[in-house]
Amino acid sequence: MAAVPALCVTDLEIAAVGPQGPLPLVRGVSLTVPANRVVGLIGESGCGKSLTCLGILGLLPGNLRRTRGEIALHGTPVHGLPPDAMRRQRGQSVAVILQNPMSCFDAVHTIRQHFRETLGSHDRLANGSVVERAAPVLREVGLDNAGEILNLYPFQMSGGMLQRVMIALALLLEPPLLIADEPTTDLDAISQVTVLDLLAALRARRGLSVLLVTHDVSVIARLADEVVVMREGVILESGPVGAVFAAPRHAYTASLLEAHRSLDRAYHERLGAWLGGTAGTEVR
Amino acid sequence: MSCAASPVRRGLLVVALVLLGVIGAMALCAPWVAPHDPNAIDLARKLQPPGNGYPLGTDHLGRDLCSRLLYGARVSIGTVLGIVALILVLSLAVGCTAGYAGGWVDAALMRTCDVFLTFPTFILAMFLIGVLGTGLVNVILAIALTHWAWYARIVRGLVLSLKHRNFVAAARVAGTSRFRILQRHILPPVLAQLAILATLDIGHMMLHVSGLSFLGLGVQPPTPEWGVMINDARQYLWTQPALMLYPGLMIFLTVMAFNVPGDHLRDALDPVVRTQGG
Amino acid sequence: MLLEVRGVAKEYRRGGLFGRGEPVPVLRGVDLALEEGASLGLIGRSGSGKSTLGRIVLGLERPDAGEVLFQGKNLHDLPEADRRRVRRDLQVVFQDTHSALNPRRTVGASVAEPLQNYERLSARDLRNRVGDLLELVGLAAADATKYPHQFSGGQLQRIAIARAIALHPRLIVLDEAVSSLDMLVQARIMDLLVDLQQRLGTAYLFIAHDLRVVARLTRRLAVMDAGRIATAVDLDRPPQLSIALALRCLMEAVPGPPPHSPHSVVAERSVAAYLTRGRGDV
Repeated sequence: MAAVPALCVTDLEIAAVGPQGPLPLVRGVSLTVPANRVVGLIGESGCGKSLTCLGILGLLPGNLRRTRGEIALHGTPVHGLPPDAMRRQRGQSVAVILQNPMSCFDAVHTIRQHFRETLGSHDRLANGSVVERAAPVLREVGLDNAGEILNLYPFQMSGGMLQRVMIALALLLEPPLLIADEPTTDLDAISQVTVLDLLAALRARRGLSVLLVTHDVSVIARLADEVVVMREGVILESGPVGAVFAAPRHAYTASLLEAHRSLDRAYHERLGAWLGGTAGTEVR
Repeated sequence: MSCAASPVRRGLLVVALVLLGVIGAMALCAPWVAPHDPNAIDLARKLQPPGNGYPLGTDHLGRDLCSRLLYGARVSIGTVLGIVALILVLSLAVGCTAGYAGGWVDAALMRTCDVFLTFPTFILAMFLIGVLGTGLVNVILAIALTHWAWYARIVRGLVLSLKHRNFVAAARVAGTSRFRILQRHILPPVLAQLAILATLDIGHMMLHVSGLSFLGLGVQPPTPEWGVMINDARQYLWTQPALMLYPGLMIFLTVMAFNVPGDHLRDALDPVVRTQGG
Repeated sequence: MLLEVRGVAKEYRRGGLFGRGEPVPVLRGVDLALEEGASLGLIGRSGSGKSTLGRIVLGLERPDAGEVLFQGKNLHDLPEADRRRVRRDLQVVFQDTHSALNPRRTVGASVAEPLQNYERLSARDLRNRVGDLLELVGLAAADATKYPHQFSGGQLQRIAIARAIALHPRLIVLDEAVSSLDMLVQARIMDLLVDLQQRLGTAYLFIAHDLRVVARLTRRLAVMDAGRIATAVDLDRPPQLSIALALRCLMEAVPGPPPHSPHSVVAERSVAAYLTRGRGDV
């Protein structure tokens, strides 16, 4: 029995409306995120993957419009919804985390106020205080000192920590779908690993579905079940990660994979004996 | 100009610029265009309606209204431009020094600004006129001294935020002297911002000048100035409304003519918007 | 020795009510050495102090203790005029592509700035030099008249590199210069840097957090952790009997080749302890 897919996008088109008529930036994009799966959307900077996310969420800026396409969240069509209803849908059924966590927080508000805002805007404030609602999700993302963290301002926290708080805020409303747009790109290498592992754990524990947007093949390899390859506003191919990586149908995908593989090969060659794993670890 | 401006906005801009041009021309060409000497008193011809070589009629002393409007343009606009120039010089000097130097210099200058900002502008202007005396130059000084502090704070804020940008650090590493950094990297955006703010404030300052003149504290008779003309015409409001209407209309139009381009100036000075096609 | 850092320490004061809060040590006695024409990778997690060290080496900030010797002279003790002369040989490429170039000036003007500061060139010579530099980094000479917002992130970094090499400096500090770019673009920029080094003999101090990227440029690494150099590594020599934990974690952070990339097994407890040490954050 097939479960309802968390997200189903059909033939999405996004265009920039200008004096010379509409200029399509994203064309004919169709993708599906099945329940409890992670789908990775990969492409270079500027290929339209972030725009696709914004288009799905109804958050396109300024002069960009969704000119065609159907979008269904958990089987419910949302492409025709007015802004207010869309906002409610956004809160209940899909959560978002974005690149560069520092810019997603209001610098003059404490974390507690961010939590309160999220809870308040979806009428969940009635059940208990902010700390009571926040502590369990913060613990889930690996931050045990909820009381301390809620009093901090965003600039007092590192990028990795902020990203985890953003994930906690996203989980607060218990959405079944998470859209993560380059969640690790601005973090240092070690924080990237912990955030990705966290997402994997959440997927296992909560049955979360994830649409993960990235430019880094290794992020896809680490976390995704299926992959969608995008280039210049169109989708080139999609399928299970293992199948696509082993036998890419499109030349661009093959070159992308080969480029990443050669990076890794070069790295492993250069590091050579250092990666042997036979040396112990000195603990300081 | 922004290509994205709608036809209505663009139309308004054109109208405003034309108006500005006309008013500027009026001010510049007054000596040649004015039909009569604006200060020539002729009591026999007082309060006449338009006609007989007096295109707009005469005022209560028989002086030609049209000529007074034309010469009044010189005074009103000249005064305002003088005020703006003085404010720019003061605020740039203080704001840039405070922002760039930091430390106790910054603190001292900002406390000075605070003193000026404490007083309501009009009261302060009247007080300064009281100290300095009346007259055109003193009006310019007084109004400039009441307004410069607000601009200085804005300049300082801008300098502070620019000082820490990476391109300033890169310029330091590239060997650019502090003075050149100020000139090349910090002043252009600051001047652009000031220009925008100043054009939007010109209307306000014009009203200030006219207001002070209306109260008899500004320009002294017989110098034609639109605010003074309104003051003089008060008693004739019902008999000869034109005496009040025309100067008032001129003030209104001039304020509009400065405000509308001020909105567009931001786009004109921003290279991102300018090269949108690129 | 081109660059020597001896015992550099720096702390920031967390502002209290009157601006004198508790001091936060960022660097606790750092020693480094770099020869002419060599490259040193300075890697570490965010918060390890590497960017602050970079700014101190560049002379943008003063250390609270210790000294920085560039070409044998103490950089921070020099009078302003001498420091300006020294600056010629010490240039930088920053991380943030969009704020490292003045958005109101054409890229040609930005690249020309160091040349205008140190050399007297006619307008035409200046234009030619700028055009040559842009071509050297893989762009077109005609790009000089464009503005920064008209370029992609990778192209902006190339422009920043062109500005950095304009005076043929002896040392370029690259402060996370590729960190915000796509993986593939990063690799191409790294290759450009290697190529330039071969041609110009410039030394690099490359600050980064990703081992994959640094390893493309250099065999010598200094691993920073909590304001100190945890370990100095020469990849040409066989590994020591025990690898410092900080370095081990950075290595673990690099995934294996696709399609699957499990971590290699390491004492999980020690890694976990490392990650939660200090501020208790990641």
